[in-house]
Order: sequence, then structure tokens, then C-alpha cells
Amino acid sequence: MNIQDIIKTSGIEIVVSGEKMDIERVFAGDRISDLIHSADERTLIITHLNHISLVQLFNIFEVPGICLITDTDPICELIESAKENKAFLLVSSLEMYETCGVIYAIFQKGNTYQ
Amino acid sequence: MITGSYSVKKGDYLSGGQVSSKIKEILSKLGIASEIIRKIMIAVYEAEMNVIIHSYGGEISFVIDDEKIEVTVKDTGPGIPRIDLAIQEGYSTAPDEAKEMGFGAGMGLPNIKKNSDYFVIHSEPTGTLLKILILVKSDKDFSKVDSYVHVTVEKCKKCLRCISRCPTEAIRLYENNLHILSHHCINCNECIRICPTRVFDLKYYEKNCKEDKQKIFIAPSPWIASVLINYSWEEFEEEIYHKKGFKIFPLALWEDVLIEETQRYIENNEKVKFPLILPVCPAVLYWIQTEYPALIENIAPYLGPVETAINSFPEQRNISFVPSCPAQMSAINSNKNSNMGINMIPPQESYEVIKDICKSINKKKEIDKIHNIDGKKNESDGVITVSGIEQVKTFLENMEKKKLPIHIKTVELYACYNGCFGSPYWIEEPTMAKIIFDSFWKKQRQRYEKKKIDAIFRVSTINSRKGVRLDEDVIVAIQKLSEIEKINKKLPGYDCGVCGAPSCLNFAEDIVVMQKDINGCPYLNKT
Repeated sequence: MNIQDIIKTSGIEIVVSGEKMDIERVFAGDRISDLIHSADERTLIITHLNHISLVQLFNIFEVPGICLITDTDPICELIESAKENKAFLLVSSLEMYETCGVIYAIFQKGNTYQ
Repeated sequence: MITGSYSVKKGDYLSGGQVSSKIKEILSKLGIASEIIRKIMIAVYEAEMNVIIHSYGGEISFVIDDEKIEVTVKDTGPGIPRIDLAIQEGYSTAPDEAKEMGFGAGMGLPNIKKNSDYFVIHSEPTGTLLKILILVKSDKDFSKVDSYVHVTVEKCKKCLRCISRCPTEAIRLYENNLHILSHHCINCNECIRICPTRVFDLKYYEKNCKEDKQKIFIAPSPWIASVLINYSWEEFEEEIYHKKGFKIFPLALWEDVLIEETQRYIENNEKVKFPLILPVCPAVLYWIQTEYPALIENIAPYLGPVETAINSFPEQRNISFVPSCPAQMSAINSNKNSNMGINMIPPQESYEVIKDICKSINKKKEIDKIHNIDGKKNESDGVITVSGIEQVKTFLENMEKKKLPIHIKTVELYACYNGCFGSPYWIEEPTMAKIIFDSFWKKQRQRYEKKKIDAIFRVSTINSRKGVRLDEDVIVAIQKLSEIEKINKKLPGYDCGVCGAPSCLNFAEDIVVMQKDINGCPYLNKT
């Protein structure tokens, strides 16, 4: 799935626009151990965390994008890191459960079309 | 070989992951597969954050060669009080500030364990040492055990004793060429013991010691016993320190600690699978891996005494050890870290050391009175000892069939009779040597308790060893199996060993797998 398709349809806001467009799955969580265990270059991360610890998901684990939720303003370090790594930094106005639901629906639709 | 070392500061969350990033950069330049890099990164990042969150600060170093990456994480305390809990998923002692940042989920060590091929942790209040090993070549089988038995074919008189004696049927004599099937060999001493012409010997003695402030000598009990028979240990110890600079640590220290720690493990854990096998003899562990994989879960979760002893001196560049069997050499080689300098002294040479040192000591005027002849020490610890290949074989078979006659909690299994005292490399009679040593140890142990000695929790899983597959393709493998059965029926079933294989069934397998000629059987056309 192209990350742009998700953004267009879901109403999620782009803070930093990236270059890694292809995503195969989405992982949502708030524990760094879970995130790094699931993170890879095709996984979009959804999280409550708005902390410098997320920077390593870009640097080391090369995730294509991170989506914060509930209209959180991302910290500067996260914005800078997303730019450096040419990754997406997104913010959803919804709660985690709803954000996941919206993206899940888009994924399902995408699969139906295929 | 590429090496590097970085320091990590306590509480420095802002820099968390920087060391991992640097290591990743190097790995990427080396062209290592991305899935391997990912495994390494998860393990190293978790370890780095553990140092930041839980320790007073530390250091992460790594060594990369063409086969593996070995990462050593060392901190300066305060240590992990309960490693058995710390490796359980969800157990966390992280402070609230770490939890607010998404850390402290209690997944650090479990994640490291999941992503490493080998993982050892050793902790005391002065610091924790974590060693992670990840294979860079994914095709290497970590359950593989190399044979440390050296074969000098020229000495072989073809008496065939070794072939019938080897407990795992690992020896073949085809076309005058005696060889060991390394996927079967458990590195016990049986072929070395039985051969009248000394065809077999320990394979290789690593000597990569460097100059160090201290020379550590880990002394096996039978070696100490051979000194005790004629000389006073105190004098000997003093003299060896003056002449050679060796500071002696009896291996028995780690054997005792292993028993004590296992007792604690039993008391603190509800889900212990009894009888618990103490990993005292590496040959028995290899045997279980090879022929009794169902019993792997009965092995107590600690490293054996030899591996623990070596790892108790992680920074030492001058550790000497006299192996009693090929299995101990194998255990050391698979558990040492690359910083250590190890000097394996051949047992024969170690006797020369004794002779040399004893020149200047007076012989004992009278032999010490010996107490504790019936070995009550073990009984009071609730540990049953079974020794000797035949006895251990019967015990393991009964244990596998759940047919042990009595309820046993903990068992020590030794491939050699009377444990390492029965190794063919020690010349003293094993029973007497053991009695002499036990009597000495009862009185002297407290002298060595000043240095803190711990058991090391075995965090990586012991896997069953893979034998040779008949074929990659299951259908072909089944065909080969039926072919083996057919050939086996043609053979006389004498298991005489004249063909060069230990049994007719082994010969039938070799005919199919190794393309041996069925006419190698001397009876085939006569029966």
C-alpha cells in the first residue's frame, strides 16, 4: 500500500513528507521494545509516545513513517530526524484505536480493489 | 576482524541508541544481510538502553569476523539481583521516568535472547557482563558440536575396540582410514581410554595468552589430587605462585556453586522439571543433545563449571586450564569471549609442571588421614551422582522412558567413572583420587571463598543436534530409509565391526549415505 493513499483517505496530517512510500503493515504500540521488535522498513508505526526515543526507529530501524495521535505536536528532534531519514511524520486527530480502525479500513479496501 | 568499543553513560536517554547506530553503520558497510543487521540491532539497542536505564554506566564493545558478531556489554553495577526473573517477559525494575518514555516494558533481556544465537549474562553488585553472539552466516548450525578428538591413523592396529566402544557409534574404519563422524561425536573419552596404541588424543591446545598482571590457573580436582598424594597443598600453591606466577583457583569452587545455585533455583521455581540434570559434564550434555533430546528440558539452566570458571575472569588475558577430555575443550571454545587469553595445558605437560614445582618442596612425611570415605557430601545435598558411560546410558534411557526406580530431584551425570577423576589422562586411581580430593576440599574450601564466585545462568537454549539428513527431499529420504532397511535385512546381524562400522545397521546406513560397498561385510556371501 502506498502511504500517500492512506494519508489522502484518512485525513491524517503530514508534518514531514518522506520518500519511503511503500508500507506493508501497521504496528501500534507504546512500548519501545514492542515497537523495535516489529519495526522494519515497510512498517508504519502508530504511537502515543512523543519522545526522543522514537528517533532510533528512524535511524536504526528505518521505518518509513511514524504517526502520532490525538493532535500531538511532535517534538523538534523527531521532526528533524524524520527529515534526515526522509521518512514520514504524521499526526492523526483521532485516538489510537480509531486511527488504527481508519487505516485498517483503507487497507481492506485496497486489498479488495486488488 | 573488526573491533570497536564505546562508552555508555547512566541516564543519558538523549544519546540512547547512538552506539547501536554506529555499529549499524559498520555492519552495513560490510554488506551483512539486512535481516541479520536487524537482529543485531534489536539486541544491541536493548542492551544499550539497559545500561542507560539500570546501571551506573558502562561500555559496549564488539568483534566482527566473517562468521559472527560478538557484542560484550559491561557495566559498573549495581548488578541484577535475580537474573532468572529479569529474563522473563514483562518483569521490570525500570524507574518511572524510563517507563514514561516507553522503556521499562520488561522486554529488554527477552528481546536480546530472542535475537541472539548465543547469550550469556553474569551479574554481581560490581557490574553486569552480557555477551551476545549473533552468527553472520545464517547457514552455520549452532547446535553443531565439533569433534575435539585427534586421530593418528598410522598408530592404528585395527583392533576395532574403539568402533564397538564409542557410545554414539561415531567411529568408522573404512579402507584403512579411521575417522570420526563429527555429527555423532560427543567428545567423551571412551576412544581415548580404550585404544591400546594411543590413536586418539585431545585435538588442539589453544595458547593465546598475553602478558597480564595476574596469571590465573583453574585447577581441575584430579590434578590437585595428584599433588596431594605426596605434597602439602599450601606449600605447592605458594611455590607455583613464586616460580610460575600462577594464582590457583580450584575448579571445584564452581562445581559447588553450581550445586548451591541449582538448589536455590529449585526452591524459587515452581515449574522445575525433575530430575534436574546438573550440567557438570559437557560430554553428557552433548550426548543428551545427540541421542536424548527429550531430556534437554531437564538440564539445569546454568553453564557448566568449566565454562563458568572461564567466564568468571572475562577480562583476563592469561588463564591456564588443563582439560580432562575433548568435551571440556569444546565447552571452553564455544563459551569464551574473544578478549580472553586461554592457555590449554595438555594433561601430560601439567604433570611436568607438578614435577618441576615439587623439586623444591619436601615430600609429606605421612599420608593425611582420610575422612568422608563414603562421599556423604553429595547425599546431604540431595544430589545423586551417576558416572561411567554404561551407567549414564542406562540412567538416561530409563529417564527418557520415565522408568527411574526412585524419585530423584537432582542428578550429576559424568561420562567418566568417578567424574573427571576417571579421565584416562589422570594417572591416579579414580576412587582413591576422589577420596583424597574430597577430604582435602572439605577442610580447604573456605580458604577460597573470599572471591565472589557465581553460577552463570544459561540463557540461550540448548538445541538438539541435527544428524545427517538422509536427503533434503522428504520423499527421497523415505526411499533411502526403506533401502537401508532392505540392506540391513541382507546383513547377518552379528554387529562384529569387521566391515568398519559398529553395527550392521550402521553399515547399511553408510552403504546408502556414504556409498560404501556391501561386499565390505565379510560374512555376506557365506551366510
